[in-house]
Amino acid sequence: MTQKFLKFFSLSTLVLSTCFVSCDKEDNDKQEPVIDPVSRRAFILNEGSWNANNSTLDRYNPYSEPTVLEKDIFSTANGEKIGDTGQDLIAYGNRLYLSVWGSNYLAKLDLNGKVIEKYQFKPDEGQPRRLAANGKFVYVSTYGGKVAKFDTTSIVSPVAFVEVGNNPEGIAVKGNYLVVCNSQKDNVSDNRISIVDLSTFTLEKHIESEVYGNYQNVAVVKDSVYITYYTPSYTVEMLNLDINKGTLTPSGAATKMIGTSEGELFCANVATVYDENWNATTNTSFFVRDVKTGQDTPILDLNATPELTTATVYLFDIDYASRDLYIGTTDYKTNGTIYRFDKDGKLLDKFETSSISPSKAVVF
Amino acid sequence: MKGILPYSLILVWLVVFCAGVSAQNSDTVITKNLREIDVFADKETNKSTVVQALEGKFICLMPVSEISDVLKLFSGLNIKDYGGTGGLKTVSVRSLGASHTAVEYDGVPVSNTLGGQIDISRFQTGSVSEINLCIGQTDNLLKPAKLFASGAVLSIKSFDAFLPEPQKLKFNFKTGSFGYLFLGTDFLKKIGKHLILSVNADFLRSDGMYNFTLKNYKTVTTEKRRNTDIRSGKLEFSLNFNDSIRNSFNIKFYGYKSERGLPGSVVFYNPHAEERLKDADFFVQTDYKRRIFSNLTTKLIAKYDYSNNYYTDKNVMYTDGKLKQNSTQNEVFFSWINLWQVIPPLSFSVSIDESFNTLESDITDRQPKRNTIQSAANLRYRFRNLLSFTLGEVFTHLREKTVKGAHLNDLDKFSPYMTVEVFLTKNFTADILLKNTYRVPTFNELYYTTLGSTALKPEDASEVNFGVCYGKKSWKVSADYYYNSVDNKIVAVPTLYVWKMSNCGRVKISGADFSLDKNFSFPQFDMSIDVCAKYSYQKAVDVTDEKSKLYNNQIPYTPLHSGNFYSVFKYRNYALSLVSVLSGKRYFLAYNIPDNEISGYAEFSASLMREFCVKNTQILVKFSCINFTNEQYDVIKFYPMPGRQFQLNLSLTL
Repeated sequence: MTQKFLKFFSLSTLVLSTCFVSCDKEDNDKQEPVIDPVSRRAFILNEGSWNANNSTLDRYNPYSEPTVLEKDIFSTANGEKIGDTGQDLIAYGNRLYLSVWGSNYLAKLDLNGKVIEKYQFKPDEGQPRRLAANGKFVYVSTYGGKVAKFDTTSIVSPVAFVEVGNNPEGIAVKGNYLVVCNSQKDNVSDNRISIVDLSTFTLEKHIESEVYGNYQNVAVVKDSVYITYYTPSYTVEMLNLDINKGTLTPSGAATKMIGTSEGELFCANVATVYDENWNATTNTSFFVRDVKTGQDTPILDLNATPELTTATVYLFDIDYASRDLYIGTTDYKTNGTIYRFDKDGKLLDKFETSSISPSKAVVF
Repeated sequence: MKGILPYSLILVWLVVFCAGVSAQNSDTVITKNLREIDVFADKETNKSTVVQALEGKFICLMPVSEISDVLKLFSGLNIKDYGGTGGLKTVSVRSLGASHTAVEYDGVPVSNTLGGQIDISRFQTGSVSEINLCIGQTDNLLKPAKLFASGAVLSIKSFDAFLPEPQKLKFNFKTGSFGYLFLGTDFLKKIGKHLILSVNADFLRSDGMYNFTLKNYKTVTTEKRRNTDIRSGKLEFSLNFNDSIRNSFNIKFYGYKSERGLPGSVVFYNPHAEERLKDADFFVQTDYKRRIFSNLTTKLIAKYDYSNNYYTDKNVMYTDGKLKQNSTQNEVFFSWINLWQVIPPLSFSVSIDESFNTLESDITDRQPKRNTIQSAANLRYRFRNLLSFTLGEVFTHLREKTVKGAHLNDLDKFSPYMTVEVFLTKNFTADILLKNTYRVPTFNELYYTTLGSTALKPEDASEVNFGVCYGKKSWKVSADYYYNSVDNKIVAVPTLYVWKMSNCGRVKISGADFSLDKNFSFPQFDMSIDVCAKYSYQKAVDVTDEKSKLYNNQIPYTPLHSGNFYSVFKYRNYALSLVSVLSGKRYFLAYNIPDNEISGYAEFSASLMREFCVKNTQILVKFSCINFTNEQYDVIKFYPMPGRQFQLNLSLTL
C-alpha cells in the first residue's frame, strides 16, 4: 500500500513537473497577438492531495479591476468535483482538456469548466498523465507505457494507442514527432526517450542513454528540445535533445521550463539541499535562456516577494500573448499561492487558489 | 517535564534499585497467610492512573462484535476505523498517535516493529473476558518494562481461567449483514486440581460489500464498497496452571491467518480496487509467576512471534502488472519482573525485558535486526488510606544492525513518570500523572524504499493528567484534565523526488474527559439498569512552525467534542442495550478550512438478548441492529462506514 503511495507521490508531486508540454510550437503560433481583455482568462489547475478528491479548477481574470478569481468552476459548472489529482490541463481549439490521474479520465471542457465529453481509461490502458495537442488530435501519456491519441471532435473513445517506454510523463510535439519522456518503473529508471511518428502514430525509435534516465518533462523551443530528468541523487537537470542525432547533452539545472517560439526558454530552478533529517534549504531562482547563445539571464524582481527565493515552485506558466508569468507555490498541505509577474519581472498580483498544489495555468 | 525531572528520577531509580537488590537477601523469611499473599501479589495496582475497563460478560450484552467497537465506548480515544470488517482499526490515545499505544494480550506485549501500530481488528469480543485501557501508565506493577514505556496500554484478556465446572464447551455462531459469518468454539477443561486446558478456534468471513452514500459536491449517489471481502481463522491453545498458593504458569499457542481485499479510499469516478493482503501470525507465549516469599513475587515471560504480510496490487504501472510485497517479522521476547513489598506501605518493582526483532522484506534491502533491552523500576508508597505515590523510570538500550547501508543510531534513553493519588474522603479521590514517553521509529519509517530515513530520532511525548473521581456503590462520576505534547513527531515530508520521513512535527494537546456511571438496581423485580455517559473535549493543535498557515490548526481526525453513551437494561434473563457514539466535526487534512471538514456523526446501535437453559445447555440469543438510524459517515475521509446492519448471535454453552 505504501508503495502505491510512494509511487504516486514520487511522480505527482514533482516539483519539476513542467507546464509546457501542451504548448508545442504549433500551439504557440496560434496565440492571438492581440489580447481580448473581455474574454481572456487564466485557468488554474490545482492538483489537490492524494486520495482527497480535492482537485479544483479556478478561473482568473487578470484584466478586471480588481482582478477576479472564480474558485472551483468545475464543480459549479458540473455539480460534481474533478476528483482525485488533476494531472494536466491544456487549452486547444477553444476547449480545455483535462487529465485526472486518480479518477482516471480525460475530459474536454468548455471555458466555463463544463464537461462536454469524457473518456474513462480502462485498467489495462494505464492512468493518464500529461497532454499535448497537434492538428485535430490530443495526446495523453499513460502509466500503462502508452500514449493515447484522441480526435478532438469526439474524445469518447481513443483513436489509437502506441506503446512507448515505462510510465511516460511529459510529452510534446516537435514537427512530425511526439517526444515522450519515460520515467521509471518499480524504482528502476528508464533510460529511453521515445520518438513517435505522428503521421503513422507508431514508435519511430527510442533514444537511449547510458548516463541519463527517469525523464520527466520536455519543452520545445523553436528548433531545440529540452528535457528534464532526475539524477541518481534526485536533483533535477536539463538535457538538450537532438532527435536526428539521437543525442542528449547536459544543459544546466532547472525544475520547470517554458519554451517559446521566439527562442526563449524560461526556467525556474528549485535547488534544494537536505540535511540528514530531510530538513530542506531551498534556493529558488528564475532565469531565461537564449537558446541561440545559451546565455542565462535572471528575471523577476523578487523584492516584493522574497518568499519566492525559498519557495517550492509547483506551477510555472506564461501567457504567451501578454508574456505575463504565472508562478504557483506549494507546501503540499495548504492552498497554493499564485504570483503573476509582467514581462519586465514586476509583480502584478498575488492570490490564494482554491486547493492544494496549483500545478498548471493556461491563459486563453 | 523535560528539565530536571528525568535526571532526578534516574537518581531515584538507581538508588532504589541498589537498595532493592541489597535488601532482597535479608528479607526472605517473611511469611503471610494465603489471603494476604493473594491480595498483595496478584494485583499491585494503583487506581490513580486513568483506567477504563469493560468485562466480557458485560460486553456480550451490547451490540458490539469487535474490540474497536468496545473501545469507542471509552473516553479520550481516537479509533481510526477504515470501515468494514476487514478494515484497519487502530487506537490513538489523546492524540499521541497509534504507535504510542501498547497492546498486551494475556499479559504479554503484542508488537509490530514494521508498522508500529497494532491493528486491533483481529481481536473479536466473543472470547474476551476483559478489555482494559490505562492512559499514561499501566496500573499493575507486575508488568514487562515495555508496557511502562508506552503512552497508554490496551490490555486484552482472553478468558478468565477461573473455572468452577470441570469442563465447558461453548459454541458461538454469528451471522449478519454483508455476508458476515462468525463461527467460534471455546473448550475449557480442568485437568487435575490446578490445571486448565483451553482451546479456542474461530472462523470469520464477510463480503463487506455495503452500500454507502457518496456526496460529490451537489451530486449524491449510492455506491457499493468493493474488494472488501475477508476470511480469517484463529486457533488458540492454552494451558494454565495455578496452585492458588505460590505458582502460576501459562503457555499459549496462537495461530492466525487471514486474506482480505483492501478497498482503498473512495476515488471519484474510479471504483477500481485490486489491493489484497494476506496475514499469517503465529506466536507462543509463556509466563511463570512464583511468590518466592509473601512479599516477593517474581515473573518470567517468554515469547516467540512470527508474522508475515503479503501485499499485492494490480496495475499496469508495475512490472508485469503486479506489485508484490512480502514482509516477515520475527520476535523473541523475554521479560523478568520482580515485585517486592519492602515494608507494608512501600512496594518496589523491577522489570527487565530483552527483545530481538528481525525483518525480511521486499520493501527494503537492509534486512534490519533490532535488539532492545528495557528496564523499568517502580517505587510505590501508600500512606494509610490517604495517599498513594508511584515513581518510575524506564531505561531503553537499543542497538540495530542491517546487512548493508545505514541503520538507526544507537539509542539509550530514560523516560520517567510519576503518579499521585490522594484519597480526599472515602469516596472522593484526586490523582496526578506526569509521564515522559517516546516511541522508536518503525522499520517502515527507517528503511522503506526511498521513503525511509535512518536519521530518525524517537518521537517524544509527555503527558500530564489531573483527575478527580467521586464514587459510591451505585454511581461514579469522574473528570480529568490533561495536557500532552508530542515533539520530534515523525511525519512524511515532501522532497524534490519523493516523500521522506522526518522528525519535524510538534503537537500540543489539551483536553478534558468527563464520565458518569450509574447503576439502578431493583432486586425485588430482578431488574437493573446500567447507564454510562462520557464526554471528551480535545484541542490538539499543530505548533510545528509559527510562520506556517497550519500553526494552531487542529490536527486531522481529532474532534473538538466527542462522547458516547450506553445503557443496559436487564430484566430476568433479558437484556436490552442501547449504545451511541457521537463525534463533532473534524478535519481530514491539516489545513483547517471548511473544504477540509468532515461532518460530525451520531451512531446508534441496539441489541436484545435472552439467556436461558435447555437441559444442561445454556443458550444465549442476541439480536443486534448496528447503526439503526442508518447514519452515513466516515471516520477516515473517503473510507465510508457501513450503514444499518443486523446481526444475530447464538451461543451455546454445554
